[in-house]
Amino acid sequence: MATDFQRTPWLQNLHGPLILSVLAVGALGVYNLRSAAMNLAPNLYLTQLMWIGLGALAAAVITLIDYRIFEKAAFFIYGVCLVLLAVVLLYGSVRNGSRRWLEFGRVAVQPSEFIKLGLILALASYFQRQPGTAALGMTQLIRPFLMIGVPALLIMKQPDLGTAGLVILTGMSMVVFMGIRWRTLLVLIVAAAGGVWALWNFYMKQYQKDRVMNFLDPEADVLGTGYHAWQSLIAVGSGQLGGKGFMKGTQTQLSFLPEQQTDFAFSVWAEEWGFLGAAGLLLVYFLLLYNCVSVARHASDRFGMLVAVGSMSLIFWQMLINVAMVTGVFPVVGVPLPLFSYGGSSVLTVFVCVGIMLSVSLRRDS
Amino acid sequence: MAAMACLMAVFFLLVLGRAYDLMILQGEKYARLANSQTEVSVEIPARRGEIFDRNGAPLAVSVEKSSIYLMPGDIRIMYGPRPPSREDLREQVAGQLALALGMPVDQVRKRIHAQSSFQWLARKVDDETARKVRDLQLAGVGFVKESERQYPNGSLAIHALGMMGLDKGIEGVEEHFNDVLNGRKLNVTRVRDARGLNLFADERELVGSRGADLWLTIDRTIQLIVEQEIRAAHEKSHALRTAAVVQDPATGDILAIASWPAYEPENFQTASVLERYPFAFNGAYEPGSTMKVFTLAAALDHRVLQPDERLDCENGRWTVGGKVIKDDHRLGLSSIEQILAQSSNICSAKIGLRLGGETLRQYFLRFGFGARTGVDHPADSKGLLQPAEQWGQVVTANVSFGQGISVTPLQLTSGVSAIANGGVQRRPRLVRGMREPGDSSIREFPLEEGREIVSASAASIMKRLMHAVTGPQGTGKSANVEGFKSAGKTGTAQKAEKGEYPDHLRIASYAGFIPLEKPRITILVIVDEPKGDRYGSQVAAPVFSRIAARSLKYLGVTPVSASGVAAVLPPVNDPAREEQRPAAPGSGKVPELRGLSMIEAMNQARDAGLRVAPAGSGIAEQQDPPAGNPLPANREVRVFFTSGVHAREEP
Repeated sequence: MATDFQRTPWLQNLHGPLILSVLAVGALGVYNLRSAAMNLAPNLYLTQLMWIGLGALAAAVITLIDYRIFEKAAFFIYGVCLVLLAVVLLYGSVRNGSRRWLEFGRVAVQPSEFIKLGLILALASYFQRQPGTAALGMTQLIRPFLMIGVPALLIMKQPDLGTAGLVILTGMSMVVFMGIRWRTLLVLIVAAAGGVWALWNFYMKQYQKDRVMNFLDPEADVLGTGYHAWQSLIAVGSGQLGGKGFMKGTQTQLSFLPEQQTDFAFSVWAEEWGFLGAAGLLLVYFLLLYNCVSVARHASDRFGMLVAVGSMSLIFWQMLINVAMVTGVFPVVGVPLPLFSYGGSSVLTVFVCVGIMLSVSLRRDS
Repeated sequence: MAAMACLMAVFFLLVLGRAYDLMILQGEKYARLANSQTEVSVEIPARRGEIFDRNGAPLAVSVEKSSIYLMPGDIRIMYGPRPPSREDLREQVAGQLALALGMPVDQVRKRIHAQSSFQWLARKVDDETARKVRDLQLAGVGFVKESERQYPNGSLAIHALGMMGLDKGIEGVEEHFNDVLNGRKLNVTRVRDARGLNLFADERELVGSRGADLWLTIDRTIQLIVEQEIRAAHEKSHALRTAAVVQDPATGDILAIASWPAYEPENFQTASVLERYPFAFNGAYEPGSTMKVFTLAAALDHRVLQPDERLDCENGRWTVGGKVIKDDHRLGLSSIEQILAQSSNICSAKIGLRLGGETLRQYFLRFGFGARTGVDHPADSKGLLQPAEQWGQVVTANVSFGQGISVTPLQLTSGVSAIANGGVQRRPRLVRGMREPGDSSIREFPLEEGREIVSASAASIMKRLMHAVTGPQGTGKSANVEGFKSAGKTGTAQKAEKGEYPDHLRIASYAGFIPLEKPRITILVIVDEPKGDRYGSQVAAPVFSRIAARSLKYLGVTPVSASGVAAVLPPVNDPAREEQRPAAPGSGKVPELRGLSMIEAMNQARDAGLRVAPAGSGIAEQQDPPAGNPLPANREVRVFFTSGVHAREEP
């Protein structure tokens, strides 16, 4: 290992495009926050900038560390995250009807953000230790499913359906990436359908059902349950081709758009910069994800590849669900746009993922 | 790995496609929706212009009041617990509003459920009510300042001023100049945020949203004198109604015009027809003997009558065209002074017949009878001059002494003013000037060219004849004012009732001008259906005397000096002027100054015995102590003025 590292100058293997695309999304996000949070917390963009700085610092440090340390520490990190999730359920503070936050003085963190990272590491580490490359059967899937299911259930308890779904999607993406037997896949799909049915009937709260139902017809109750989705549709749609201009979005600045700095940050961007701006932002995300794929392709081992695939899945699904949500093709489930929406925990998680990917890329086979 | 990248690319394209659909294909629809929820259009009436007397004393003022509107779709409770459903919310808000406004819940509920983005909830409410509604902290409920009419002098000149409905003048000058006074409404598009709070439009947009101010020709003091005197005469005679007009013959300016009974502005809704009737403007009546002035003037001007001629008055009984004409005073061969002074119907008829019906009619038309005077008042009317083909011998004879013809008080005053002004008549003027929004000073309406009705020499002879009326033998001797020479003519007409002339129904009048040599005022006094004494000489002439005496004193015209010419001195205070002082209703209290301009506020305060300590400039917005409080010990009221906020919306 040490010899590999010495063989190629390390700077040459530093994944510049990945760094650039991550910083680009972060910078656009900060710029957007300047406008989005102008009424509520005009200095919020500085806080976000601070989080990005912290994240970048963490990523830099992690880049220098050999990522294989994470392979060894994976289950420990995963375990700590699970404990935190349990602590949240017991002692977390309630905001907007759900228990998601752990408060340490002035800083509040969302352990459900960190578990995403913990799960990626744990699954990657688990599959690294599995022999062979044959498609997985049911018995080989029990452990990974447990690793995915336990945190997902804890998050659902908060309740935070969006994050729980995201944890499942990310984990499942990694599992599918490893390959599953066709028959097993079929059974899983049937089981998933049954699970959704059970979830709907026995678990979900009325407001959650309302949100989901509402997405099917956002104009049905624009002042009640459909308000968020409807206002977001108006914001995005009224941006038209060129947008209304920075800090000139009426939906945003007159507070019609809810949760502008978090879940609906993309709507702010679309309203003020129009279709051109929205397409541009999506392009930057595409580049970011493409760079993740490139890291995965060149990883020197399965762990490194799986960490890259997991990170990419995490960012991709969040982005997809968020944009689908704010453009009215997915229920409003409270998934932020990674790096672009305000949120320290989310920013840190993404940057740690990026740091590990950079480390993987740095230590690739050439 | 490749499959994964492809899948990702597909999802990206789907999301991009959705964005394209929303923003490009449906973009306009959503842009419209965005505008419709951020913009609300409110029509703000301008602050109505004010009406002043000829010297700038306020006759009708605008006081700012709050009007409350609803944007039914946006009603929300800003603070406090939210009701579970929209219906509960509406119900709760309706209850709160009804309580605050003292309105029936049903009415409020109806407006809250209205399918429109803008609904008036209550117009021109008092400050206390507005505060109560504001304290409810409701989104979707807005406030607009509107002006409300107030008449600081009560019923003074009310028939000239007229009355305001909710949004427009419905009588008098208020009606005639409604559009000018109202000014232009402002259509303000306001931007509002999600809570329904209005973000203020630029206040500069709102400047100029004010109607024009009017200066009438009326002099508040003379008006007050006239109203006091006609009321006294009215009560003394137990008359049906009593009216008087005071006009400046040189300019045509109406200095005072009034009839009694009238009404207090706040009682307009319950006022009787008689009280609302602007008799001095449109009360066509049979004038009787005052009409002889115009018959004689016409004959003199037409040179069919010589100044030194003597006519046979037939000892009080004469038959013409089968109709008997009688005189009260039996005269034989009489000079024309005697004919007018003793008011001979017979000789007036002879003179009229000498002119011939058509010529007499033409002269009457030139004096302004049978046509509107052109005064700026909606009640201006024609009276009744019979059509030419009906002017046979009998009609011509009757009309010559004022029977079978209807004139308005204003027409008759204007005719007498023509004599007083040397035969030149000026159109009766009620409005002297106007200040349009944005103007810093009053634009005075130019005087119109006078029209020569009769020659100066004919007018001069008529003056002498009319002066004789006030002589010791004349019917108008009780019209005399000590120290002044004057001219006039009495009239006592029978009133037609169901085609008959019952003996007890009379209209007693006196029309004249004073001082004789250089007339300053023409005065007409009419007492309709006096009880007891029924003659113009008894009932109307003394009223002329009192109005003339007090008005001349007020105008600074002194009694005849040694040279025989009246001297003009600076105005002195008439007692009436002292009585005007309670400009603050219920004196001893601090008057309402809010909504007034600085000068108006200072005038009002001074009238109440207070001094204004001003802060800022523009329109008075706050005052300390508030209106209605007892006068403060230091006699000072602090007033805060703000500029350009006539139609300002309140937070």
